[in-house]
Amino acid sequence: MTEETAELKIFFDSPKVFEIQNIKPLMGLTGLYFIFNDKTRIQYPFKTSRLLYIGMSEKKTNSIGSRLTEHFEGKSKNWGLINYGKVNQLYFTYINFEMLRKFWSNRVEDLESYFILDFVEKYGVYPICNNKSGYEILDKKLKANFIINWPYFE
Amino acid sequence: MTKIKSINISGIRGIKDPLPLNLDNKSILIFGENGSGKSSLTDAIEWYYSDGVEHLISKETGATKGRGSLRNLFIPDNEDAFVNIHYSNNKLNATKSIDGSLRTSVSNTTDNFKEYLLATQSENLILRYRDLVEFIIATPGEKIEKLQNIIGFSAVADVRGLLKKSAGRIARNIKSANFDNQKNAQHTVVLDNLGQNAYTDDQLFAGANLLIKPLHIGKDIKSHKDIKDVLKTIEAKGDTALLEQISFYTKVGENLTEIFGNIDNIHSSYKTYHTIYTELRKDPENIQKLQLLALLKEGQSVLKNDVVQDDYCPLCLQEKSKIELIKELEERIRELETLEQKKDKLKEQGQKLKDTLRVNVNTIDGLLKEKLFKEEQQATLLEKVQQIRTSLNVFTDELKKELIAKDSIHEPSKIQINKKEISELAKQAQDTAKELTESKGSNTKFQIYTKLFQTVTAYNQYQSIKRQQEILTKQQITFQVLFADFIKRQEEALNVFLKTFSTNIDEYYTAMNPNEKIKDIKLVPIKDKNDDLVGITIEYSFFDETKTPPIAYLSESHINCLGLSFFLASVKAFNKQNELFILDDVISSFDRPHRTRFAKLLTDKFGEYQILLLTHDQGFFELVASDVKNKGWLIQNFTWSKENGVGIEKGTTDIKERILKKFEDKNTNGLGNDIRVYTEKIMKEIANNIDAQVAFRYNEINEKRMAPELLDAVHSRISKKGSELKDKANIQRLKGIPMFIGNVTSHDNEFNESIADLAAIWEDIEKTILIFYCDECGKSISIKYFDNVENKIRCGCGKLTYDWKQ
Repeated sequence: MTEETAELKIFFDSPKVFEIQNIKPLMGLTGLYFIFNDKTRIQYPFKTSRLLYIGMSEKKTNSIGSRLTEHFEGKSKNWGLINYGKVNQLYFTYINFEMLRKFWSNRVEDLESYFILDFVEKYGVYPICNNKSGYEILDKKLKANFIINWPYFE
Repeated sequence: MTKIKSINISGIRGIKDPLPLNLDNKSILIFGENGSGKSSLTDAIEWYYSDGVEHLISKETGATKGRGSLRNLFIPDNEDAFVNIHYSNNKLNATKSIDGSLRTSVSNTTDNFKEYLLATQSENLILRYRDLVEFIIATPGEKIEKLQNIIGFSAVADVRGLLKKSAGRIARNIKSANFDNQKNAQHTVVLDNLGQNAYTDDQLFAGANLLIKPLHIGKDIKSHKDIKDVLKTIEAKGDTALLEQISFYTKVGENLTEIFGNIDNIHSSYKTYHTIYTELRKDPENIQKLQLLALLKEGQSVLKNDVVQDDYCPLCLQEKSKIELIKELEERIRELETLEQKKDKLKEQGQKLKDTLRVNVNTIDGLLKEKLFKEEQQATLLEKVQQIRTSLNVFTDELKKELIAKDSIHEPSKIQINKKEISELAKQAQDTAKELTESKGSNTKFQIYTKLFQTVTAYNQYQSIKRQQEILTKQQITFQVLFADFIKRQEEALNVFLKTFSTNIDEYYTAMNPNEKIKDIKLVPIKDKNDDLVGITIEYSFFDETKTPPIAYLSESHINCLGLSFFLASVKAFNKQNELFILDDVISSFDRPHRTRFAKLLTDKFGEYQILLLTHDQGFFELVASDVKNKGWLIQNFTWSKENGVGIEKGTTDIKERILKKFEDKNTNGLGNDIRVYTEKIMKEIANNIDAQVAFRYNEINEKRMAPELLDAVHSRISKKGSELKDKANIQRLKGIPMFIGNVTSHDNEFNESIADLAAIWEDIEKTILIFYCDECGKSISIKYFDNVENKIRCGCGKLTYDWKQ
């Protein structure tokens, strides 16, 4: 894609309760996933949002299903998610990478970076449970012109 | 609870003439030599209740469930054989008959009786020696099946199987349909045309309104109807052919994108299939052996059904313990079943792949029906699409190959579908559709029409796929939830049952084997890796270590004890209709202490039951008889003669009465032995009374000396004490009787004397005994009654006296 690429507005699919029954069917899928609170909003620098975590799966063997299962079972040791899960009903939604493949010629990792950086732009900081300070997200302006429906999480 | 008042059997098995047994709801102990008709009684009762006789069923008699061998050979064809039973509840009284053409009929046709018979099917009424260990040596799977049948869980297990199968089938459908992939293909179209994706109507309408904005048609889309109206308004009739082409290429793009998304799944699924296939083929001999499985199972059934009676292998005819043989067969069957499970896994994996391939082939077939493919200009595209179908068919063909075929299936790397080519083809088609749309560059209306049309079609398609997915997922979840709940409840109920059942088994086993190192016998459920109940094993503590299964450590006698304990525990657990059971010669392998404890167990713990206890073992008969004669049991003997067939006579434990009866019947069968046993018994009593001492010896020597040494001891004692008694009681004469000489190997030596010889011997013995016993008071002389004044030994009343030196 070039700078002239037309805007593509990205909506999120309806929220699913963060429980194993909803996670299992996502085995074998690659793409991005978003974990968020039921009601509790996080006060980010620019705006509040229920979004806690943006994650990705780049391989079918370590699919969205497996990654979410690790979070659900606490194996990912993401204490933020674990503790939010203790006091809140958590939800998740996901974007199947295949849907965007035609519009995104790079890797899933880059797509995740794109989404995270876009969130940083709008909210001032990474999602609270991403614990991310490394992996500098680069090149956003070169690759796409996604308009992400962040208000979905507000 | 039902008991039996009387049984009358006629013309069944060895019983030719009517054999009435008046039980009067009481237990009965029946003694009979082998071939005297005990088993005929058991067979008749089994046929009465179950319509067949299990041990008579073989390949030859299978069709009639053993009925072909049921009628006595010597009854005329026009005469009915029958079993008539009168019960404590007389509404159940019935006669079951079988005529010359093996047609059976039952006199009692009431619902009461039908219900009673039906309920009895699930009860344990008869235990034969050969059935003793059946449950113990059964495989874990057979054990659970047997228990499930008895406790009415088989229907439950069927439902469980059905639920599991249904959930599995739906899960497979969901997986092979790869709904997410299908949805993505539609999303891509929406994104491409609308510049956004749309999960909801609102999102679609908002996008559509933005799309039609440049047309200024003054209409706000708020519903699907509005979209239709807009499409109708801006439709350009002259561009139908172009629109058809755009639709065609869009569909090609969509379908190929969808197939592209499934290719990884096909490849990895085939790889798994190939791995299992190759693993199984490593040992082709094993695969060949699988064909023996049915044969081995048949062999197992032949042995278990007692088609072969003795301890030998029916194939090689070599001597072999039947239990050992069954055990070996079970091991081989288990090995092959493990192999069969792997083969089933291969089949299951093959089915999964087949389902996925079918979905893709259907997609291609649907696409190939597009009429534009008939046009010459599409020949190259047609060929490429057909090529995809061919490459899918290669996988289907591989799946058809037999496991033991000469050539193995292809390596996964050799039959890869060219993913890149499909992706490029899909992109080309999508680009063509776009180019065609843009070919009318200046015609904004046309472009918007095309985009809106494609979007709506894709969106509707997406919603339809989503609905299908939701319906199937809901069904799958429902089945899973039902299954999980079902398993939980089934396990709870089964565990409660197993606990009670195990407690009883343990109690009965311990009663027969006290102070032994086998404790805590219990039935334990076995689960597979999916947590499914697949069998039951018997677990016990042996020298404080948990062991399983029993056959590995226990002797035959202990296993028989365990078998008896299972039967008795199952009587307590399952016999709700009948308060009765039959034990047919079940103690053959028991030694004396086990027999004693078993007899005590029956009288102590099963006093309220009506027991029909049949034995051919004289010792056991006497043992039980002495225990139960004061407890209201009936005691009878079965006899058999050529002239009269099976007969009954009052059973007696008084050996003298038995001897006199045999003389009366001129029946020499066991008479010599009875006379010897009687003589020994009396001589022991006399020796005790006159204080004739026999030196201590170990038991194996004791066995060799019983009668001669007792006679010696008595002779020696009376010789020392007074000539009067010594002269009268000619003990030396008795010592010369052949049956008392050389009685070395067993108490049960056979004697071949004629009835006249035996009568003479009996006369001598009676005369000798009479010398010691008073005909007035019936008591023997005893040093208890020694007369100090007269120096005489005398009987209880003092009538019989002899000189006795101080």
